[in-house]
Amino acid sequence: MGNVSTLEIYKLTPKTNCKQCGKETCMAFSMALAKGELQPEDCPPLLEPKFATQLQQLKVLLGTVKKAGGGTTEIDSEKCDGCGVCVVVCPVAARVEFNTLSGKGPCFPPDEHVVYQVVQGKCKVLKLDHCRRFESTGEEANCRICEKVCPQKAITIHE
Amino acid sequence: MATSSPSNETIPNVVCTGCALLCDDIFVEMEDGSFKQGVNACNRGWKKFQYYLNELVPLNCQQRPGKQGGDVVTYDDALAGAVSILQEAKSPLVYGFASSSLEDQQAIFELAEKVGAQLGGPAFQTLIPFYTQAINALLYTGTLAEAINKADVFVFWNADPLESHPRLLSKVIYSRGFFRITGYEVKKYIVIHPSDPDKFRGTTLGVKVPPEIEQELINALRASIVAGAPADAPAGVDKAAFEKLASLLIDAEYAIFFLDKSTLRSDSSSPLLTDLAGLVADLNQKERAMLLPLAEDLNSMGLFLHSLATGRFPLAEVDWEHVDAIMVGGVEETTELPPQLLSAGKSVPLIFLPQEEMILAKSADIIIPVAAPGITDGGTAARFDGVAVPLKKVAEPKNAAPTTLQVITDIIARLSA
Repeated sequence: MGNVSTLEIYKLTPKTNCKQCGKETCMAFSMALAKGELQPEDCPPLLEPKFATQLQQLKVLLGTVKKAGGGTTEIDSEKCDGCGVCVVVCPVAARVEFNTLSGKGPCFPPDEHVVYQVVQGKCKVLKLDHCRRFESTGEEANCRICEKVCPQKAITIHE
Repeated sequence: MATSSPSNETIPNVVCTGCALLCDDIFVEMEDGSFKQGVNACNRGWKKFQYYLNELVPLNCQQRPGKQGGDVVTYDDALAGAVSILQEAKSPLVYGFASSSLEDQQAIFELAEKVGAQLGGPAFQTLIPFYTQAINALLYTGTLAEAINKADVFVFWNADPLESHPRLLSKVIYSRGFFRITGYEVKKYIVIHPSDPDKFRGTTLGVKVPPEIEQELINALRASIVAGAPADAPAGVDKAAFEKLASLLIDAEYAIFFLDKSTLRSDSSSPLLTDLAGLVADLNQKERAMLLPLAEDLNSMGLFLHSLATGRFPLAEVDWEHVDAIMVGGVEETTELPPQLLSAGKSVPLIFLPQEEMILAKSADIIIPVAAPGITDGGTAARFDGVAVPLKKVAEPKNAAPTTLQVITDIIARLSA
């Protein structure tokens, strides 16, 4: 936790300065978190569903919870034949690109949340930020469905 | 609607002509008039765009007297040469055209009628036996949309979709569908194949079945479906795998059997296709099931539809012995050309309408290059399930090559003059 800056922590707080944590400001709360004096759960607004993602990211940042997912995703372009199974099976794409419900590829350019798209006949990772392994909590953060179903075994998720 | 300037544009909803799946969700990005990238197309489809738009060496009309040399001639001269060959022929053969549009094929049927030509090609060896036998055994077939939206059990009989139709799995197994809101979680993906089932990843069940016991397997499955419980497994098939297969089919709400060309090409005297159609008919007594032949070339199905429309059913096997002139078109480098064609092409006049450079050109007397449907030509094609899909012209053909429709129409006009 030594490398975590107070500013990084502050970015994930509700920034409402509600004082419910006992500190005057969210910045002061962030400093207390950085020193280990307080825990993320000491901030009641953070426990609201709308801040669930920030709470999870904060816990990961502070090292108070082991990051279930994350890691990196590697695609072996020699093996990949662009079949698009990873694109269609990705739960994130199903949520934001309705075309994928019927097995089609996303629009181009795709929704900013889309993780995979087939470009030049090969699957390409567009952005991992919105992959369930980074954004979700619990079981969902262990999502490896793309790796599991890739017919060519072209996807590897490295923890 | 295409975006940006004509030389730098993104063309949406382009139809990929890499196989008969005709994926219509491709975005083609052009830069300075060249193909920059294809989005959503599989590797096979992307390579085809890349080849036709960037790599294709422009071809010229040629006359090759005695099948030698290659004099570049005008379109009119090449046309005159082709007409002369067809006028002199007593038993011409029109071969291929599975990679041509429905419009091209309609003209081909008209030309064949006019010159009394046999029609031949790989498509006729697969689809005609299939439909003939399936119709005889009560035809149950349907569309890709039904497979995506309604089906829950998918049986790939001797078929390897990743080889023949790379995006088929993502469409039918891993899609969710609009009427069936769960995807692979409830769908059953079954492969029945002579290869080791481990070759196919993500299957619910893989059953290794040597070709010689396919018949027995079908009979045992039919007995299971009628009885509502697994019958005895045929010798040579794993008992546990058979029982699971029978149970999955008995419990299926909507089963789809995909058949590839190896099954479709089964000997016409073999009852395999008829029995598979019978199995599907049995399933339909309780729930829904259908057979879908996996035609490969982009518009094989179109040839079959024209056969139905015209009542002119080509023979599955060409009468090679009497062929005295050949016209070949709508074939690609990957099309399997029979040795009889290559051999006959060396001894009788051959008119070749290539979309790309092919070795067959060496046997041709007349070469008239044509545009490629779905890339440098528009038109319509029939997807493997028979649904008509409008193709999109992405760019102008190199060397201003005419369309197949134009060439055939011009030949018919000259023959009629």
